[in-house]
Amino acid sequence: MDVADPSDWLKTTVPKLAPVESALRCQVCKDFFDTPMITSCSHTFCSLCIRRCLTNDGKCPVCRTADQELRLRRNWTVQEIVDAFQIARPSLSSLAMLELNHSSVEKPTSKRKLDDTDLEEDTDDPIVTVQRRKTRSHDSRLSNSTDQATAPSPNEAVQAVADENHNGNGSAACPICGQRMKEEAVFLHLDTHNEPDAPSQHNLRKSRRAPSVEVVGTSRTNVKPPERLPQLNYSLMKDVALRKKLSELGIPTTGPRSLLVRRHAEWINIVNANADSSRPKSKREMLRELDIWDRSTGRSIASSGNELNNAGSIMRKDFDGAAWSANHSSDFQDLISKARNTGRADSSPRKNGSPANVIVEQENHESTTSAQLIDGLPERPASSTIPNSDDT
Amino acid sequence: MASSLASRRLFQEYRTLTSSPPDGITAGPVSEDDIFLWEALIQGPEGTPFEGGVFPAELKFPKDYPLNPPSMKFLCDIWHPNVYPTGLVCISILHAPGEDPNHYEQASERWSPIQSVEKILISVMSMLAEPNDESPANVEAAKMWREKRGMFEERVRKSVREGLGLA
Ligand SMILES: [Zn+2]
Ligand SMILES: [Zn+2]
Ligand SMILES: [Zn+2]
Repeated sequence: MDVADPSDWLKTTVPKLAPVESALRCQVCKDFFDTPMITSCSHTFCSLCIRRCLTNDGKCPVCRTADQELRLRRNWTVQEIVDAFQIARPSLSSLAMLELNHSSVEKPTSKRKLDDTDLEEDTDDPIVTVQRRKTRSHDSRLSNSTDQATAPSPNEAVQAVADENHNGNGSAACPICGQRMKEEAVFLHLDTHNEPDAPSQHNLRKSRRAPSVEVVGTSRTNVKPPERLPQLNYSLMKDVALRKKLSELGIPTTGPRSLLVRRHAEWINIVNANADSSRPKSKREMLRELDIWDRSTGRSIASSGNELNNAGSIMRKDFDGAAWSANHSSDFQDLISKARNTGRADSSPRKNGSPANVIVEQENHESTTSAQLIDGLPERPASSTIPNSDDT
Repeated sequence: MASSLASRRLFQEYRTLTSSPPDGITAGPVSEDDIFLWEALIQGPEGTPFEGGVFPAELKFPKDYPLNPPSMKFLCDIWHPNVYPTGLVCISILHAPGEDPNHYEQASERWSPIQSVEKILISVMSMLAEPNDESPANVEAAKMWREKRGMFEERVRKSVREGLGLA
C-alpha cells in the first residue's frame, strides 16, 4: 500500500512540492498514476481507474464528457515522470526534512483556512493555504497513543530508519514488510521500499513500477502485447450463457446474475488495463485482484441486489455512539469549548485567532501541548493513525 | 495486503485530512475495523444562525467508492431545509449523476469519483450557510426559512445553545 501523501510536503521546507506530487496522482484512486491513459477530453487517469469509471457511467470523472474505452490512449510521458519522481522522492523527502531541522525557519503547520473560494466553488486541489495555526482535529487525540516524550526530531527519525532496520522493537509495523519500529520512522522507512537499489525482500510494486525507461521501450517492441477482451452485450445473454462465458474465462461463476455481470465487467477492465501496462502482470495476479474485488464490491452486490448506490443498506446498522464519543472526545471538547467561548463573548466580531480561541488553547493544556509536539514530528505513521477507542 | 481500491482510497483521504485538515472540519473512521464508516464534526459557519454549533455526522461509504458517493447523516437534531428529519443530508454532491431526485441539480454539481470527503464536508458547511429550498428534504423547515426567516434563525440558534449546554 502506498501510504505517502502529497500533504507530507507541507511540513517540510519545500511545501510547494505538495501540488507537484498531487499532479502526479490519479484523481480517482489518489495514488501515483499506474499505467496512465488519456481520454478524448484530454484527462489522464490510471488505466484501471478510468475503465471502471467508464463501466460505471460512461463519463470522464473530471469533465463529465462521454467517452469509450476504445478511445483511451496510453500516456507514456506521464508514466515516465511518475516513475522518475518516485525514485527521487525518498532522497527529496529526507533532504527536505533535514533542512527543516537545521534551519531556524518557523515550521509551517498544515491547518488550512477555508476562504471564500473554498466555500463557493470546487477547490481544485487539496493544497491551498498553509497556515500557521495550532492543529486540532484528529492529531490531538491521536497524540494520546504516541510516545511523545521520546518523539525524535526529524533528523533523529532519519537516523532511526537506519537503526531500526536492524533492531526490531518499536510500536508500529511497516505495512509492507511488517518490521517493527518507532511510529515516527515508518514513513521514512517506507521510502526505502521504493528505492531502486535498496534490497527489499518484498517488491510489492517493483515488478510493475520498476522505473526504467528501457522497460517501457522493450516491452513495447519485443514482447507480444497481452490479449484484450471485448465487451459483452449482457442484455442479449441468458444466465446459462453468461455462466459459461465466465467459466471459459476461468473466473468464478457463482452468485446472482447482477454479480456475474459486474464480475465479468471487472475482469475485462483488469485484463485490458493490464494489456495497457508496460509491466503486465501474470494471470494469477490478475485473478487475485478479481478476488479482492469479489470480496468487497462483489460481496455487497450479492447481498444487496443492486443497491450499491444506497450505501446505508450494506453498512453497519447500529452506530456505536459510545465508541464514537470516546474517539472524539478531545475534538469535541476543543470545538465545544471554543464555541462556548464565542457564545459568551457574543456580540464581538470574531476572526480566527480571536481572543476566544486563545482562551481555549490555554484552558486546553493537554491538547495544545500534544499539538505542538506533533508539529515537531516528521510524519504520522499510517499504520497507527486510526485511533483506538481505548486511547481516550 | 489485500485491499480494495475503495479502502486504499479512503485511507489516503484520511491521511490527507489528518495532515492538513480544513478549518472547522474533522473526519475519520469510527474504528480501525471498518474504514467504510466515518464520523465527522462540522462547525457552524460564522455569520449564520448555526455559528457556534458543532454538528456531528456519520458518513457511510459504498464498497465501490469512489464510483458512488457515501451517504451522510447528522447525529444531532438539525433544523434545515436540506436535512431530512432523520438527519440524512440531501445535497447534490451526495447524488450520483444517474439518480435524479432533484431535477434542478446540474450534473456538474453531482458526485463524481474526483470528489472527496473533504469536498463533501465543505459543501455541507456551505449548505448550512445557504440552504436550497427547491425540492427540500425538510418541507417544514424550508417553508419557515422562506416565509419566516426570523423564526427559522431563532429556532436554529436555540438548538445550537441547547446543544452546547448554555440554554
Ligand atoms: Zn487511479
Ligand atoms: Zn475529461
Ligand atoms: Zn518494510
